[in-house]
Amino acid sequence: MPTQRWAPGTQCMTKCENSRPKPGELAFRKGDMVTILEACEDKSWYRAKHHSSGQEGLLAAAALRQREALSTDPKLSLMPWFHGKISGQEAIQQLQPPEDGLFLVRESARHPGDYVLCVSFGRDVIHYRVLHRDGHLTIDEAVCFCNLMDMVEHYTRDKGAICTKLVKPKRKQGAKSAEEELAKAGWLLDLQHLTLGAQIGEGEFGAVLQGEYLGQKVAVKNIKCDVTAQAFLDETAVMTKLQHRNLVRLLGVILHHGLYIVMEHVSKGNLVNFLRTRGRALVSTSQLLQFALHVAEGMEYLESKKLVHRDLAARNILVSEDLVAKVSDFGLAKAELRKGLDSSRLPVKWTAPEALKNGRFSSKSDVWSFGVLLWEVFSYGRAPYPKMSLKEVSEAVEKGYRMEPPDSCPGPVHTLMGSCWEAEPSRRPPFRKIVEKLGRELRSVGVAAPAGGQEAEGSAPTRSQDP
Amino acid sequence: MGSVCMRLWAYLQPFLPCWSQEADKSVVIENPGAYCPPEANRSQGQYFVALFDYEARTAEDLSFHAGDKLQVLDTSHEGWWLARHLEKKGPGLGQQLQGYIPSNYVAEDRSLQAEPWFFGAIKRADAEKQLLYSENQTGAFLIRESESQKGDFSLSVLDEGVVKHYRIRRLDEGGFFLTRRKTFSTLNEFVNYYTTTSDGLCVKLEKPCLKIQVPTPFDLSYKTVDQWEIDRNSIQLLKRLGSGQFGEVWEGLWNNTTPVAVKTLKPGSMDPNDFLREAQIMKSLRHPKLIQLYAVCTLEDPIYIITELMRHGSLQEYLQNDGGSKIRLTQQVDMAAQVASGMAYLESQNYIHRDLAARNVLVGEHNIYKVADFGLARVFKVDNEDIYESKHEIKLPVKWTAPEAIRTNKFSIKSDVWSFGILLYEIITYGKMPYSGMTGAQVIHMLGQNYRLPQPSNCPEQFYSIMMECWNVEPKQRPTFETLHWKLEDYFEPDSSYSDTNNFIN
Repeated sequence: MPTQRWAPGTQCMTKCENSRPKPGELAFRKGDMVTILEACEDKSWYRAKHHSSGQEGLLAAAALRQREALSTDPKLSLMPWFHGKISGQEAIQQLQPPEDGLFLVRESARHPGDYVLCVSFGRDVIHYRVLHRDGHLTIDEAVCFCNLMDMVEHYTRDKGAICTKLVKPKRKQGAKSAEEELAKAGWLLDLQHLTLGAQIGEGEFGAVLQGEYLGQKVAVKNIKCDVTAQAFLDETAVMTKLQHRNLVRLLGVILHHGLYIVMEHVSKGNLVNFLRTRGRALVSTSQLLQFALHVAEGMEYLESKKLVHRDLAARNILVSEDLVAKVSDFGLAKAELRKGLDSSRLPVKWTAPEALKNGRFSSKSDVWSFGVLLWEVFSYGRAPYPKMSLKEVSEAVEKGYRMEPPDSCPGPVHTLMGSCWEAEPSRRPPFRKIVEKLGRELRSVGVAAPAGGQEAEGSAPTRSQDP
Repeated sequence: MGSVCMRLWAYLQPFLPCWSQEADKSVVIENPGAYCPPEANRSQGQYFVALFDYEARTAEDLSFHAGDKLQVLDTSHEGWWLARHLEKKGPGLGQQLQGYIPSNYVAEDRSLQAEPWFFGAIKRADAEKQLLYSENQTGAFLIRESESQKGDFSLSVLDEGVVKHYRIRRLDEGGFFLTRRKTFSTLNEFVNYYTTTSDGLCVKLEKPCLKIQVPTPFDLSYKTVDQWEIDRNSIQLLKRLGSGQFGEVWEGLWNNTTPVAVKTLKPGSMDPNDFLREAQIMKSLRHPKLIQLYAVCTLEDPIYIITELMRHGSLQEYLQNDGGSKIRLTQQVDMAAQVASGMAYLESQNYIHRDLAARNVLVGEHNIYKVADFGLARVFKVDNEDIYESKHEIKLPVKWTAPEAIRTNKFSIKSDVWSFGILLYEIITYGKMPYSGMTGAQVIHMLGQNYRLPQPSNCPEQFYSIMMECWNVEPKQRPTFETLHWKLEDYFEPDSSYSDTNNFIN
């Protein structure tokens, strides 16, 4: 088996044990989580940090394995103890034989929309009604919770107003605990190691916070709503399959206040804001081409995995410290998510006509969106279809209208935009072809190193120099 | 100079007629319906029609009236062309008058630009503004290039004080129409038809909208293009308009013909050599939203700076005089957009203003606002201590100055963006002093604590968020002027990335 080279920041699992480390070596047991700090010149060794102990040291490459991808399994549940709408009598039957602290949560059959916490205690089953108060859940009206998961977590630690601590969930028939599966595969992170900072964005489904995990800067998406968090398990499962330098990397998840999705922090923020602030003085045409190429490469990878983004736009591209563009926000990556949402909203100006009218999303509709993203990039972040309302855009595009090229846009790039905006999806190029075309154009424009670059220090040189 | 011309092209294109042989082919929109005079009268040189009246400023100039036909003999200079008048005669029999004309006053004969009803790439809002001038009557109209779809045209018509807009649609095989019932092969046919019948329009087309917004010639004259040091005696100071920290501003007259603004500088306020070097750069910066520097007199004190005259003075005074009685948000946003447009040009030229504020924006006729005094701050002799310690608030540019510029005394286009944010505050508060009640030292301290001017009571959230973007503590994170310009231009357009799919999904 060929040994992979892990990039710094990659999280791996250990395959064996090293209980008697030599000086400088890391001690670990089988199944421990470590973060790669750097690859040693000796290709057989890495320097890494142990998640639990926090120690840093050397360990053999052969001792490491990649975390397993999480399968997309409809039985996976963040709340395996939630039984849906069942009667109190059915709940009592579920909680047999009696065991103190055995519990489940059900939706009240008598009061639909209300929840009931059912706990086995002594020879009885106690039913606690869960009240809705000001958008929160409460049993005793003294302690409130954002969601059911928080409530269960709380009463697992402290019995508070109820008869006993929650000890053991009674799992719904067929349900698998997402928490157990995540932990087994190595994707469950430890809340203790997470420090949260300022909010750095507002995603479609919740806030995005800056944070730190075991000394590594991270971005944390917090999804409080139970239903949305459950739906996002699908996104999480999808992300565990993906590893590409032009996709924002998933580091793991934490089940706390709903769901924390922990991702790599990409320091320069989103591409649209980067372009609107740096502008033409600091971002060259060849840099724009590189950004476009990076996005295309990330999308080529998604295409090869038969995944559809559905919300490809410059606002969903992040720019790293060394100016690598990364695709993020697979928020609509699954049709189920879109169907399940109350606010069924679409980014109309970025969405392909057949997706807009018939909900036919595919890699080809992502290509259309990529064409709009190209226009955004070469306009230095301008909102597409200037001065046109959403209704006007929809009508005009239907009749064959396509945006004019931005100022100073290279001809081949405008031609490529046109290809992406073919009315017939099958005539649009695959991302593999787009990568080839952009690569060719970048070589003809020349100048910049292909791997990435450095942002110019300070400001652009001015014609009037300060003394 | 060639590269400067090319850089200028993108900004000046809406205002310029053809100025080079190559440009002719791509820029001129053919107007085949126009009357074609007999070929026999044609001789070498290009034929142009005057769009505006021009009265000669010097003996070498040629006077003409709107509608006059001219033959252009020499276009080697960008702003001033040698031309012959085709209709008027000189003192001698058979001798035609000739002289220099400003190139932005004429358009090629038989081109679309030459039609009195064609207004080029102006915005819908601008079309409304021009049609609503009191001299226009019901039925006044203009045709303009569509904002959203290039190659398309829009018709704007005044009907009893209200402007109506119609999209002029195009046939695939060429030709124009409003309704498919009636099509025309040329815009001229289109106009001729609808001046005879309203046929579905709100009113029959009458006289074309008056072209009141006369463009500014690039220089005082052909001669001063290359020599910006002029004879002081050619300037008469007529009326003092104001005074400031470094001198006075006067309304003046150049060569007994041309109204100008004259800034007189206090002796010792700057080094003439420094200033001349800076003036050379400033004079090459041309944009419709920048005050044109015409000439300088530096051979003796006081130094004169001769610029374009803007009759309504500074934006600061203009706003303070109004106090909210007539000026509304739409006009305030338009002011900001025009300033951003001028600054976006400076940004594209890698030039820093250094003293952007409402006092340095000047107001002209017909709601035109232009950025003035760009770059001057660099050549003034200023003791930092004097500025910081001054007891008079009016002299404190500290309140307009970005924190990093105060700290390091190094300015950048991003410190100009900060100043623009303060200017936005001045605009929305009708010229109020920012950080009123605070000394400069207090402002510096508070900014260090992340304090920012609070949202004024009449200020929309959207406008305030643009201000706050300008005041990002990290200069790199402040928007470009290019971005600020389109955000303000599109301020009233609906902009949301997402929309309810129910409107679209069947």
